[in-house]
Amino acid sequence: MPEEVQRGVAMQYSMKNSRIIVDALKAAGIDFVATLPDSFNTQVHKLIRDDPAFKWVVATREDEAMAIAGGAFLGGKKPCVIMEASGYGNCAGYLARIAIVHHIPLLILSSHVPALGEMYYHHSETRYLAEPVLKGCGIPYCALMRIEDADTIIREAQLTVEGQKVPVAIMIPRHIYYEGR
Amino acid sequence: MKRSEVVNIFAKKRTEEIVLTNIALVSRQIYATCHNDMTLYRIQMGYPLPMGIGLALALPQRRVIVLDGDGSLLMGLGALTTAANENPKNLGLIVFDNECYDNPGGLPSATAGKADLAAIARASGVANSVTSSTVAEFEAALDGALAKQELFCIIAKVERTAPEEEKIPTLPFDLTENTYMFLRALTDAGLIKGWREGFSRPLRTTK
Repeated sequence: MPEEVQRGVAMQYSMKNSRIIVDALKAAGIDFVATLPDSFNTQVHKLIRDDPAFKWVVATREDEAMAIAGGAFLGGKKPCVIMEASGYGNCAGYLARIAIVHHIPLLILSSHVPALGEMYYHHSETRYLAEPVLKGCGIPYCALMRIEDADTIIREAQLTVEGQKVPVAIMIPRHIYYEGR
Repeated sequence: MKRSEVVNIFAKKRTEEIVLTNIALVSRQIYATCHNDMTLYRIQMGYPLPMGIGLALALPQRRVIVLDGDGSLLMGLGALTTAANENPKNLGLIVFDNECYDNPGGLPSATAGKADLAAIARASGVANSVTSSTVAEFEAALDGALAKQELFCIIAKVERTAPEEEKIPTLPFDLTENTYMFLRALTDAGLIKGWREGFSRPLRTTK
């Protein structure tokens, strides 16, 4: 039996893909994850929570998670924020005023809607804020459309984070986190 | 009590603590009284405490003190619950509570009404949370907190900004520069590796 199944839908989390994502984060040097968990990335969180290679902190809002990660960066960690794309609506102020002005970089993994597949209107409308917020802040981002690219994209994104000292967002659509239909 | 009185007591007792300040005038007062480069100034409202949590978790060997205001803390009350659950013993929070939004003309904040920030902190799980209304109370609270390795929160009830406090000069650097100064200071103290050109190169495969 799958550990968790979406209500009324014949799909389940892809444990294999979640493991690939976590392994890619580890390979990129990420050692600190701050989050407001999201249904998309539940399995990723469980793997990270149980892995001593990561410090895992649950915040009460997405922007709080970013600020915690920002503090961890200042203290020498290589942080990542994992969140739902709807959270960008809470984060514009942090990204513009702290990440950009104070020049505090950050890797962000968020769920992604414009890649299609979102079934709920009430979810999609808030998640559509993600790209305008990132564009407005001048933050580089990309979508991870194929799990085979996870290691490369996460590694390259973290190179940009560390080399250019900027936030970078990787947006992950539903079909990466789930399998089935 | 005046905010400058609280700042002066803090400045007198500051030793090797890393300090984060909020965006308010306290940033300029700290610069004028006890600046060192392990100080990150003028953090946007709502974010000083969560940044302090992340920094304290990353550097458990060094005390981190966050200087915040009532309006700023009220914007991010959830961080008190995160601080309590993570419980970094090297983190302290001092809140200058003047019960108003000082810059926009002193319009009242929630603490001018029924909100009690020390009670909120305690209910969030920060057990060592007190309110001080006099200079003597604040000094005793700070001495007690610094004597222990324990997460603490001190709410300092202060008056609105006095005219003479407004005359303190602005910071002689911008906030991006401040980050680089801060990271350099942590690097020189051996607390972090710091950053340099080509910082990310070790991630690249050389084969």
